[in-house]
Amino acid sequence: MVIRSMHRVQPVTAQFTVLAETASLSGLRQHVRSAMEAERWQSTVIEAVVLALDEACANLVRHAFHGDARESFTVTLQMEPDALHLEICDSAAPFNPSEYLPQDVESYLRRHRAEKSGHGLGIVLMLSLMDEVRYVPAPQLGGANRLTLTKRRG
Amino acid sequence: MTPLTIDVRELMPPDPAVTVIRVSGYLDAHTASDLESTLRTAVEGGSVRLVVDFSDLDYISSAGLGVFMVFIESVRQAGGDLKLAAMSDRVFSVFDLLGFPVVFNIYGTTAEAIAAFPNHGDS
Repeated sequence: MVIRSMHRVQPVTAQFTVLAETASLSGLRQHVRSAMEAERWQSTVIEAVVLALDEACANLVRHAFHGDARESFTVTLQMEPDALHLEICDSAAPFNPSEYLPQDVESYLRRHRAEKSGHGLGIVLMLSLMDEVRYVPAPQLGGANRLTLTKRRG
Repeated sequence: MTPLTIDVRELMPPDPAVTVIRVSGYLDAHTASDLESTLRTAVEGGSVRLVVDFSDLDYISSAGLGVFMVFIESVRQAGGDLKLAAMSDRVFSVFDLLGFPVVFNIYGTTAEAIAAFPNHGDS
């Protein structure tokens, strides 16, 4: 018998409950980084995934939860042999990242000049760094919004 | 990894009047406001020739990049510049991904950034 390939039958899964404050983000980054290192993901991929997750969660904390640390959300990391999925679930008001998407840095500057505020760069990063980004708002009040980020190996 | 540490150093004559801000640790949605406060204090105090030294910065997210966007136009309108220097490849890749090298002057070393200000070394 020749074994041509071996796969883990079960994906490796980790779940984190994150307080809705920016102070939580560094710990989350460290946990996800460590979990990916344990599964031998390439360092450049780890940094890309960690940054994309950080951007998604920072947006959620700021724009959906308004930094209310009494609130929390969950992050589920699922690692399969050839792909990784991060699912971020929250019960805040729906916040669809793609609605805050600037075209590029110069349009961001123009918007910043006009509004004296500006966000959206994190969403550009998130979309650039991940292979797939899907957002599904809660089907009813009190349900969970789900943002899923997918990165394929190699 | 330590959070953000900020060290501000004023170069005095005979050096050109340049303020060098050295950042260490990580610059994310939590720590970006500390750097924004430091830059605001410098700019409101009249410093418009600024260099940010990234040599000890381990991590940056868009919140950190956004801080530089806040000040770049006003600093240039006042005849100065906000120059960025000594980034690791990892930090530079984030700036590059968002097209920041089009807007900002980015140098390999802090000394190169300081030297790029007009009149440097004339005195």
